[in-house]
Amino acid sequence: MVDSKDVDNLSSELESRLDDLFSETNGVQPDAEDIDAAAYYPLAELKNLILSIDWEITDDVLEKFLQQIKDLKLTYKHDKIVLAFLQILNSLGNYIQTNRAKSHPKTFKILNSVFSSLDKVVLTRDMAETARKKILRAEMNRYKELRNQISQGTSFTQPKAEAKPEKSEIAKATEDQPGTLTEPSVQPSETEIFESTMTDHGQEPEVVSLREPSVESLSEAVEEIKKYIHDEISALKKEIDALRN
Amino acid sequence: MAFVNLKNKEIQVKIVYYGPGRGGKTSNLEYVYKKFAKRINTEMVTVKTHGDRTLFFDFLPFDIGIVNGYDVKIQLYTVPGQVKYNATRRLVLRGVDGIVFVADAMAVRREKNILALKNLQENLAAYKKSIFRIPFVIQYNKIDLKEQGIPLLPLQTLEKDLNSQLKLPSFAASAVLGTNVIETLKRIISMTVASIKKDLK
Repeated sequence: MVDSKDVDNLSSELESRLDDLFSETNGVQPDAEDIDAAAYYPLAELKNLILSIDWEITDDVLEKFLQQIKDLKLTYKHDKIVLAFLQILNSLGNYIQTNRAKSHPKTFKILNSVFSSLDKVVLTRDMAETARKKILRAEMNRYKELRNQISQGTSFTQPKAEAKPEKSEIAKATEDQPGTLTEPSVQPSETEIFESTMTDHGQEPEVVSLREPSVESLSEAVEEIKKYIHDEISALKKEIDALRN
Repeated sequence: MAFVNLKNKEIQVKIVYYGPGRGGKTSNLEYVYKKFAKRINTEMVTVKTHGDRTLFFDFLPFDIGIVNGYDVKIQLYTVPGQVKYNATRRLVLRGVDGIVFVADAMAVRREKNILALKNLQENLAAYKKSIFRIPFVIQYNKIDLKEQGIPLLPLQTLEKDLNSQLKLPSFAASAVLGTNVIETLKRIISMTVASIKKDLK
């Protein structure tokens, strides 16, 4: 047992303590620097939207997500690596928009992983170009692996409470239909990629020409990466030859 | 049930933000965290399930400090609002001391609010707790959307739908802008600690 006076005092003191703790004017406010940093963090909105998708897939969130990517593509139109990351996120967004809860479970992990890497690339100042490319390559590989799994109709487990999609549904979603993961590393010979924009109203998928600056940039970025890998291999071969001789 | 350690003079209360999906429960916690993280010296934790996208719950613990000799610790939780995650909601409600029901003031969410409140009543009953007796505050969230021309339910309608029998303290709020977020929190903490007084006496 506790003294009842003691307990009554607890209540009144609590009120005043809460007032102090959560007052808008007294005490410590968030650092001005922190506020500035948050204000200028270019991926803040994208991060919020990814968290929102994680929570619940809604039309509203997905539309905002895709719009945010469009905006960021303009912001980073001169940064090919960032553009490539954004293109992957865009493809994943389109796929989720079509398949909703039936999306391959790995999609959400990869979405988060791609964002984390993009975040690192954007926020780390003075990151070497090779390091940036290496991070992009890793994410691209994960993305491609997922795309292959979906196109091969690899089985994946859904939460028990949800209806398991029929195999035919998965197959259907991989025949270049909306909901299929598109190839972000578009080859020059492939003249167009499908943006999965099929809406509930049954609109046809929008075809985006590679001539569009953003896709062109992406293509160039991929070519650069290819060239980089090729150069690396050539250099290694030369070193091996030199060692042999 | 609140954790009260009389020997160490420590009180720990669990408050759960409940309500329909996308109603703004997480936004409430995020506002508190973003605005006062340094002052309350805490980290917000988001727990996910494995293998799918579902957020399990958000968790924001903080210490109010020594109040009249008692070290008062608060734990804020949210539950996933989606209908299908009822098992998770029920689990998070275990040991709850106070509830904030975050209703969505958008006109299109009227039915979801009512269903979520009924669901809360059922889940509390599973722990032999009454919605009429537990410390409880209602928040009508998203009032800021009126500015954007989005149809909102009149306050009277929300009160009639959700609070006509309960007659609880209620706040019209905007979790995104922070309007009445802290007022809601302060009220539920006060009510919850007040209810614990009975156990202490």
